[in-house]
Amino acid sequence: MQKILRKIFQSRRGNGQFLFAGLGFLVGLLLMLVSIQLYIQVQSFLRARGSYSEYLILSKKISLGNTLFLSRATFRESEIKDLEAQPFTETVGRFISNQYQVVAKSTGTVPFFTELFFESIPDDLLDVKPDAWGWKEDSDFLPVILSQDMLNLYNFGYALGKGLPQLSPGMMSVVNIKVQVIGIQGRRTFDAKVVGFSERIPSVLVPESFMLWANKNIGSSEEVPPSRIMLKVNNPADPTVAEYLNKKNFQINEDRLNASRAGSVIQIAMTIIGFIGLFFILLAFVVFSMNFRVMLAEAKQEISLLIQLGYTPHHITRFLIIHFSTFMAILLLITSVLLYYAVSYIEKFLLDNGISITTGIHPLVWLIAGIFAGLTLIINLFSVFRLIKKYA
Amino acid sequence: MDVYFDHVTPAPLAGTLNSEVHSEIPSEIWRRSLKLEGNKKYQVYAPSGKGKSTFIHIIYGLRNDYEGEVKLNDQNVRKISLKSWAKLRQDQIAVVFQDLRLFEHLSARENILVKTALYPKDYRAEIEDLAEYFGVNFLLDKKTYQLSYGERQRIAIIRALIQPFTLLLMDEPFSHLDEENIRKACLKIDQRCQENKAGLIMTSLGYPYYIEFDQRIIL
Repeated sequence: MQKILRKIFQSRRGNGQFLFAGLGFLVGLLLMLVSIQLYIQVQSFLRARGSYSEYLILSKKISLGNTLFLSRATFRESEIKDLEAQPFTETVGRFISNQYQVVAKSTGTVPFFTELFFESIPDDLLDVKPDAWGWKEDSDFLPVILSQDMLNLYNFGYALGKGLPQLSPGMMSVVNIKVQVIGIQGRRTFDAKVVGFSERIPSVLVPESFMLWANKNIGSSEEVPPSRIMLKVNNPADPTVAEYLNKKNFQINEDRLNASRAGSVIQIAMTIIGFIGLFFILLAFVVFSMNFRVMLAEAKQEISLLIQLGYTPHHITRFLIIHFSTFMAILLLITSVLLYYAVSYIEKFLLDNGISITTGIHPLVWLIAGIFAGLTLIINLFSVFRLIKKYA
Repeated sequence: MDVYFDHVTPAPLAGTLNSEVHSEIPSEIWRRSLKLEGNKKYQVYAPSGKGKSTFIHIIYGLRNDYEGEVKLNDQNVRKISLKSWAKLRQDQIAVVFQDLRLFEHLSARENILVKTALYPKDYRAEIEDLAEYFGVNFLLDKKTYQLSYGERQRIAIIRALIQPFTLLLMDEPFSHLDEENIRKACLKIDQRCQENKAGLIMTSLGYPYYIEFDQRIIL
């Protein structure tokens, strides 16, 4: 029976049109799924980058006044409070600088003698936390975290110019350094070692507990407002961050800001693509369903005649359901294969261009495809039931 | 299967029937009470425009636009469900429509297969036999739209005769057949009715065919 019914419905002329509508549906679904997949991938890419760039180091612009009047470009407590109150702020950490002199020297592989500066920030804002990090008052060992940039400056600038050996991070951490802190209240010597390298903070960092102790017991002991603060934001792509910082005349690393701006631009672009995809699929869905209805309407005579010959509406409905479901399944299969290839191609393109994204089609994309196909199936089957009832 | 007509006035004929008071031969069916018995052969005749097709369609459940009541056995046809109609059309009532109602884009054979697909039995040999008897076996695989009206009429007759039935409805089935084909068709129809112990209701313009009708009724 299925065979003869297929003959009756397939030899109709309107079928080519229906195939075309199916093709449109396929393209629409594919476009939507690809844009959702890309959206998810770009989002996770931005989020992954965000864990790096959501930490912003703020400073104030140094003006001529600062230079002439030896006034420091520091943050007032009210400014920090205001910053803490912003919706994009997660944490604000104050940099504390040394209120004493620091002299470091080393003999051995890398002999040097230099004056230094120290800074500290709260531990939870550090990007590296070596085991040896931390300091207690009776300890003579002082762990130091150096900026990765400083190691690079040494290796590719200083060491080459001075004929000194280049050092790997591992080598650097075994160099023994004598650090002397000298202040108005006295002096003390420590055995220091570089225990880690920070990519995030361009400074020479010591534990905050050491800094507080040394400022109080060696240095001037007066509290100095911070000239740099570290800001952790919940979404680095949020354009209001850049707006706020500009308004307040705070300086931050420009590339971080640019990354945020680029992030927000990409986000907007992806949202637009997603919406276009959605619009496209809705349009395709309407065209597809309308065509199916037209096909059914055109088959009205056949359906009526079948019923006159003794077919039940159930016979015809079952045939049309099987037929339509098979058609949908084939469309979905082709869409899946095309989606796989399209996504692989795009992933390859992005990876080749240095954008590392998570590969593989996100389960959400399959879920959306499934839901959409299911809805299309249900809505169209509903029109089958309704029309057959009407024709019978 | 008995058919009862109880004061039926079909809507399309309402105006015509009113003026019938003055016509010479009044209808024995419209606006009358009439029982057509299940195992008898009836010829219902009338000139064109008197509602022969309407009459067949009412019995076959295709139209409801009439006043009065029509019953199949004891069941009011208006109250028969779609599912029951399907069952009746599969097992009880066979029909040849005046306009034949074939699928034009299917072959002659496929048109018969549409009917036989409803039954589990394999009808292929029987289709060949009947086609040969009616002289259309060489046309079986031609598309229906390529056939002449007479050829199509024979295909429609085969489609009706091949199914099991207890009532055969035929609406001017021989309009485009020559004498010899009419004779052969009548013989076959007679034979199938006997095999099935079935009744026959055939509408026509009133020509005497090769069938012994139990009653001729004017519409």
